[in-house]
Amino acid sequence: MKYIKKEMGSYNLHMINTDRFKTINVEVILSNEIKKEEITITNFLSSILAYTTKKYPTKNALAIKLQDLYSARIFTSCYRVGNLYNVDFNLSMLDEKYSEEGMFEETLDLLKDILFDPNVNLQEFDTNSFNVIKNEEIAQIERFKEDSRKYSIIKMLNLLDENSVFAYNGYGYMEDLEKITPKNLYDFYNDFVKKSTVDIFVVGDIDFNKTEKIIKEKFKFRTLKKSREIPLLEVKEPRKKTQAIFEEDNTTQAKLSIGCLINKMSKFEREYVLNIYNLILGATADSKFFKNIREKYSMCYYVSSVGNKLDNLFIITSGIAKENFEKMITLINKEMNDMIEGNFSNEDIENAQKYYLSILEEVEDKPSQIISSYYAIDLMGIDPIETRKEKIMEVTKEDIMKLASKVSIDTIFLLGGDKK
Amino acid sequence: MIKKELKGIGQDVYIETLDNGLKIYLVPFKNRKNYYINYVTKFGSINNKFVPANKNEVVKVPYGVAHFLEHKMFEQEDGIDPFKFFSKYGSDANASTGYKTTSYTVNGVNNIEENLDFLLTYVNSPYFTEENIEKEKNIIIEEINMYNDEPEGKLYEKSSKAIFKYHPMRIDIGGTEKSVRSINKENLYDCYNTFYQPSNMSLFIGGNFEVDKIIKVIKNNKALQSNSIKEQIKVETCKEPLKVNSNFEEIKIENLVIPKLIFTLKISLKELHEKERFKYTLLLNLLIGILYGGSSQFREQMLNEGKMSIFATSKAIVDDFLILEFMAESKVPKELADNIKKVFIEKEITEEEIKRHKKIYIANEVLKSDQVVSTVNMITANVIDYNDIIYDKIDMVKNISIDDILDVRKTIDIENSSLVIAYPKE
Repeated sequence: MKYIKKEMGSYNLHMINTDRFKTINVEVILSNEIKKEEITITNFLSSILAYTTKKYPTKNALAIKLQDLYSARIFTSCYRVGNLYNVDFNLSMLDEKYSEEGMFEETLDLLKDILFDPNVNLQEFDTNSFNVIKNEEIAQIERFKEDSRKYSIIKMLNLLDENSVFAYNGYGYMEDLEKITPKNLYDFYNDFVKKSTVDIFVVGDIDFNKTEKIIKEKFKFRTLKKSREIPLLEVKEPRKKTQAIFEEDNTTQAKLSIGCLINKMSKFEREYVLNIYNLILGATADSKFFKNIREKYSMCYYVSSVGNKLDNLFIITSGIAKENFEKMITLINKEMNDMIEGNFSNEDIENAQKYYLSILEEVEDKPSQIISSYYAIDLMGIDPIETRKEKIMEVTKEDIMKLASKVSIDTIFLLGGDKK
Repeated sequence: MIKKELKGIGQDVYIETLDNGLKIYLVPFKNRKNYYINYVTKFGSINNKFVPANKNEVVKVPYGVAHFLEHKMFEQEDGIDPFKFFSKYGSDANASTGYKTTSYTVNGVNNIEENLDFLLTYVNSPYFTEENIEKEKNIIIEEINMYNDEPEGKLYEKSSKAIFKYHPMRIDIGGTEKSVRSINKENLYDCYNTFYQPSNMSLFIGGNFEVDKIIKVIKNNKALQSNSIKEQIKVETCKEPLKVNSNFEEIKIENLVIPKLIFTLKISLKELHEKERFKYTLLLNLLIGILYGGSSQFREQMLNEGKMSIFATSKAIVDDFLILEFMAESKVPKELADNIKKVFIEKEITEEEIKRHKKIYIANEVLKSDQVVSTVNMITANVIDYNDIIYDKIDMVKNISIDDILDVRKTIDIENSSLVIAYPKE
């Protein structure tokens, strides 16, 4: 596997050559500082761009074109990374060895159309496409309430700090959606393609020079490249006394979400120690949460944790019987205290390190993971994979205990469990 | 051991059957780091009436036993925790129970031989005690509660009851709180001894490994050798009528915001042997792709008219039935269902559409074969549904004509269907 990064003036081109796959994968990432009021319109824009184009002005026409390109797939997705909000344009197509000559360029032309030649008439997005996407966005925002587990997490984050970007709802907001028109969406689009920071990735059995030439010719962004900063959120002081909040809901199981704040991590803690801490405490079926809270006390089916290094957050979720709430919190507290006091074995650390290593090794088996790995290196300045393999082995018990003492529970939220 | 090729994809498969009846399918990949093992028994939630191995009478076990058994297989007499073992080798172990099968999987990059050996050991070493069974009940009931709180779960449950009159498909894979509470040690051993005998199981392995070394590990595994029961399995099959139980049902669901529907066709496969069943589902796939796929007029029209916001189709083979399901989210569910029916009966099909959909099918087969996990899952599904891998899929697709597809369409009685609509509770 060979990687090369090219500065293309207005954007970065990252090319990865590998003969492992029967596909070529391209990802164009447009990144901006997150603003709450722009989440909904960004989601809307990413959906409408992939729905129709000027040249393929109906859903049918675009879908048939993709099918003719040997079932090529193009989809967009929006997500937050720290204080950035990204839109990805993902393209996956068969390598020409499995389709026919010319398909690579023809498929890239379609991606180019999606980005630069949207279905716009008289400075407005096509009304029909607009209405279809509007219906879908409305449904997505409404449907969010159907998922009590997701709802519980977002509610907890809002209770923790409603002004922080980690509490923003990535599904969007109805009041913002109502303000979007075909006209102001087009204005937003024009700004968006100008002000975004752009990265393009190409992965597959590719020739670097040829690929660079093709990309350069097709993708002409007029953005200004800004210097890149790690998109870290500010460290927040936890409240002095943990808050516990209950909300009634007619579910059988109560959905528990716990938000912990992590105080001032060093780079080493953020990149390495946090991973090991999370793996030992709650990320796997070999973790303390799983073995003790689930297996020993039969308290729940799932209890797991996730560390968010850019947000300085550590989140624990579970589904429990409501009457077990007090006991559950006591058990979680005990496990977290055990981490502070060093009540875990060297074997636990070694297993977590091995697990981390195998995740790193598997990166090379999936094009999407290869891309996100190189993107993270570029964006967050994290170490290359080979360095990470060495440094993860340097994490000691003392490091983990020290990090554990920086994690404090701020907000506990329990939703529902009230059905009789 | 025989070696065969998945034609048109350039992938070899090695197949071996051991003396005890275990079937092994090996799919070595060049150029990959990872591997994926799937150890499968043909025992799922619907196999609840049978004559246990070494017994004479038919027993009916409580609903949810297969799933309960899956949970309990991770319990070992010597106290070794399988999750700990796999974690030590940096790999991921998991298991899942379906209507027809239970699967034990391992995903990893290193130590495939140790991991495979241990997988075979623990799945062939049952250790059920009254105590460890009781302890598991609360965990499983919380799992059932979790699914029950998902609005779609209730819709699916209602739909299964509308399609099937007697069949155990009516009951959720996990069973009910009551049935789970009633499960005992004898139930688990009856099921284990009957359905976990090697001749009822298959082992699928894909990824980075050497075939000979893997075969050696399997043949030398002591626990597998000691699992020596080899009896004809006598399952009492359910006398389920072809006619759906109910054509129309409505349900109100807590926490549901937008109405959803499931429209299901119940189709008989009784007269068809396995390879014909594959051909039939293949033709049906193409037909459904043309009528309702991403480039269909139906999709475009329904979206343009604001009549749906989610739409998906799926198929399952259950005993002698093919269940074809349409799931949608819609503010006008009845109208949408009428449209689904109308398109099925009336929409004309062109040669051009067939040509394009054949091309998509072939491209998608190649795409699937690009990942270890999806390749192993595809082969597993073939073996479970058709008793063998379908090696010449791509040739079969190439030879399909418009008449083949129109013929399949004619065999389907659109009125033998059930429509279940879920509305939000006020």
